[in-house]
Amino acid sequence: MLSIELKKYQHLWIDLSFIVILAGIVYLLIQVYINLIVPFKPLSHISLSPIALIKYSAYSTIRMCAAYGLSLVFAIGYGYSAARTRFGDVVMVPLLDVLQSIPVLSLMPAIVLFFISLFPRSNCGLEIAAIVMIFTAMAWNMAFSVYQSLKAVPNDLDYVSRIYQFSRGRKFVSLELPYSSIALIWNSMMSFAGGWFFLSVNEAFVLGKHSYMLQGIGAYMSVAQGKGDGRAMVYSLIAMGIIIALIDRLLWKPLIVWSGKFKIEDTTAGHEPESLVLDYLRRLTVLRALRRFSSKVRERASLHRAYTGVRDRVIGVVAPVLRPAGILALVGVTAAVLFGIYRSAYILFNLSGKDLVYIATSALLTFARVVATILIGVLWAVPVGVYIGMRKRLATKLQPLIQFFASYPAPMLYPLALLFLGAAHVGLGIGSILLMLLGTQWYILYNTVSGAMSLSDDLIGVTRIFSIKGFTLWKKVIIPAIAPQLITGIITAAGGAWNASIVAEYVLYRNKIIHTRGIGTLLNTAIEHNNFHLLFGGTFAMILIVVLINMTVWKRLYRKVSQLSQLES
Amino acid sequence: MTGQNQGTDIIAALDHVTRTIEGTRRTTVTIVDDISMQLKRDRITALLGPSGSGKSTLIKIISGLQKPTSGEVIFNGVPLAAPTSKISIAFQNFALFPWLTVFENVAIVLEAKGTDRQEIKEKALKILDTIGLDGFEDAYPKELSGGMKQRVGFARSLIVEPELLCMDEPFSALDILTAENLRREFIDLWMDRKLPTKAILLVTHNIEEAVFFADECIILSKNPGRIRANISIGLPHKRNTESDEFKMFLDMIYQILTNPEAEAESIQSKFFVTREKYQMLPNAKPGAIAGLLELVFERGGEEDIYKLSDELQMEVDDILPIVDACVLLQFVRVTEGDITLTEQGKEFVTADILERKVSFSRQAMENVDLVKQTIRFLRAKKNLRLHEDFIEEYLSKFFTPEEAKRQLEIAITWGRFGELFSYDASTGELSIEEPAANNAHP
Repeated sequence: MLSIELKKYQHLWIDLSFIVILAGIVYLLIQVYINLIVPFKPLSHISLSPIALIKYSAYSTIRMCAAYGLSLVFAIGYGYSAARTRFGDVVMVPLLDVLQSIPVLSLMPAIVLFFISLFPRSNCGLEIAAIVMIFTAMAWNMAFSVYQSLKAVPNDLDYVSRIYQFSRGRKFVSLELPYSSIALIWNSMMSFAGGWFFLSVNEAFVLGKHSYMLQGIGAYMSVAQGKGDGRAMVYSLIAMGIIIALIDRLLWKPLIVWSGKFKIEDTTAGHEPESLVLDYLRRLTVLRALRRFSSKVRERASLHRAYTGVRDRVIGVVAPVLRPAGILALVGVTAAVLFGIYRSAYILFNLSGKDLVYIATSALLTFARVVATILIGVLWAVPVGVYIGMRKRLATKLQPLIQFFASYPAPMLYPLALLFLGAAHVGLGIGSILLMLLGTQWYILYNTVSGAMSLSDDLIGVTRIFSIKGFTLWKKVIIPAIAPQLITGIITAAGGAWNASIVAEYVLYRNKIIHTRGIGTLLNTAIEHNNFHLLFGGTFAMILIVVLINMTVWKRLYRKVSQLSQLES
Repeated sequence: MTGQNQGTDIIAALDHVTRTIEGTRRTTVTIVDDISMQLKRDRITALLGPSGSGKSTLIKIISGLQKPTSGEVIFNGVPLAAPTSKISIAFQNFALFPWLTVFENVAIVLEAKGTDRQEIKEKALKILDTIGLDGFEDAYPKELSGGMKQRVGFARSLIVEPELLCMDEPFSALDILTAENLRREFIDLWMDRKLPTKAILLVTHNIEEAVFFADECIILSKNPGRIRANISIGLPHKRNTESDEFKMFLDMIYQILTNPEAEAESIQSKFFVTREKYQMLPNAKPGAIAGLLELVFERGGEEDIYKLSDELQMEVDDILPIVDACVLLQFVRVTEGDITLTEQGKEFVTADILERKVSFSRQAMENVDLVKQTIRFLRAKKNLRLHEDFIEEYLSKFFTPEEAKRQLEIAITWGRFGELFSYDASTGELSIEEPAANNAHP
């Protein structure tokens, strides 16, 4: 009797706490809304007090979440269209390559000016601009993940969906989305980290004569850095750590545990991850009641009929419009692209010789730094990643830590790194490699760990039985097995390194800008001087190099490697 | 057994189906080559072949998942254009959605058809019950054993009430006992007409499985897959895997598969095509024949077989070869379970031992092909002697080696009893005794 009573109360407490949390979220959202509708104020005041930092952290988190939501919708939509339409592989995937290689800085003027002009009287425009900039750091990678998952849906399940004539929607909901979700969730964690990376850029920036600043932890960090306020910097480092840990516990961990049910390999071997938060949510009577209610509703035949009726009517209205709209959109996009190409060509041909030399030398310097970054990253992260990934228990123990480091925005650590570089008498020319490495090595580690974890237990067993060791083990088993993921990791890391050059080659330190020649510095100065021709030229050079290398080196390698692993199955 | 009266009712057919794929260096590889076959109502057809024979490709072509390079699939009289739930597949590795419960996995295919929810529920529960998944509705696939997973696979492919159920190696991913058990349950359901499908196509590389299930067994060659043989297995279902007939089919198919270069027909003919042409001797000793005839004579020349076996405390199966031998020698007639002595039979029973031998040899010479043939062989020889291996060799055209040996043994026993020829067991030589031969040949 007593235990039953206790259980009853336990549920009560769980439900009550949920209501409190819900209220907190609603309060925060209202605060954000109030913030949004204040009159246009490009330069928000940033207080360096730790109390204010709590508020700023919440704002930044909400911005991140909004950008993430946007990215999620985009990624699923774009990834799906790219994988399932005729032009997807030809047009959309290469376009994604290009988009991925555009640094946020190059898009910044366009995004900011567009949204500010859209909401000239409220701060809304600036907020949305910041969110969209964060979005550009998250979305492309996630879209790739969805695309790749959709291309790899297991044959048998695809056959089932075809034999029983699943509609596109049903196939998407019952097969494609669940199948993609695991990779997407892991990718989301990485992309979210990518979003934090540029937060300080996205919340505080200079466009020509105008400075912009939004209330947020990124802006707080910038101000602290600018003023050389060591205490405030430490505060922001700690706050950032807490936010990342919290988001990991409250969002990613539950999602990963929940997504376990979407695993195709259906043996329940080894360690099953657990999440307190997920347990908590599962215990909510509110949610369970809701679920029961919805399943009851769905079982009602009349309701179902009504639903399908409405659906069919909507389809009936939308379907005839869809095709002309698509064609119109295609024509529009083509026209825009053609115009863009014309304008680009115009700008490029009108660049002075001096500018061209400047762009070329900058690009080459940054290219060298990127190569160095990747080399160093691979050299340490691959052995470590394989070591961790092949020991599932260790991996599950270390993963939270790796995730924490990976999610931590490297630019926040730059002041520390610069102190170290200063002490070691290393200039930014070489030192920026360290700065770039701080952010991008995690992509390589991440992917290596997941590649090594996907090595089947059987395969590991075989290597043990026949004591395949050392060089043979690496050459014949490990490298081929992790190759697809490793290459994905390197592609992402290279992209990340190019992007990181923007913050690594041009650093604000103690109210002073330190910079070294490179494409990052070029873009920064171009924006500061409102030199759009140089901005465009630099961006173009960067896209060109990144896409060309991707196409000539990595994509080919990836295709070869993934063909090999396909033969296996 | 079932389909014979509706043998022309074709559910689906392959018409000269060929599929090629692009190989490396601009070559084309032929996967299956000019396959024509018919899948008939109430019949289980097995596709049997080694790996590389394109079995799985054929199943994909039949179900519309892949297009043949040339030829077409005819379903219900019209060319099949796209996959349809009227042709469903049970997969080797089950192909269940890991994120759906057993019930949802089965229900989803009806949901996709837009079936009413109440109906889905009823149908799903019914098929789950039939297939032995009662109580597992809310389990997830990963909680189930392999056998239970395949049951879910079966349930899902059957809930749509397909006209043709294709099964792609459905038992190969299971352990032997589970597979055995599931096979038996499956065939029971099929024979009891509890499986809502009209015809079944079973793809397998397991000979025993093919012989166990198939009414018709199509054997494919490999690289490319061509039809080598189409063997009709006329055994009644719920087959006894230990029976001689079952083993004969196993043996035959095994020989066809292990001799990929050989003409399948010649192997087949060794086993059973000519077997019907050559008279088969029932395994009965002359003494037993005489005993049975005496018994019937004592009961007034007419008796019920079952009564007879009862009195003798013998199984009907043991008495039948003796009865068959008496029928063959025309000593008795059998009508509806009753044995009646013929004139020759009465003559035999009432004669003394020497007259019995004459009577027996006459009946054997008139009615027993192998005895006649042996005499003919012996006469053809100048020294009237012949080694038994010669006749065994001759018989091997019609019988399995084992059966050939047995047939010869029976013929020798009968021939010696009738003093038609003599046999030296130490040398294995047969020879004619002139007088007896003269007697027997009026």
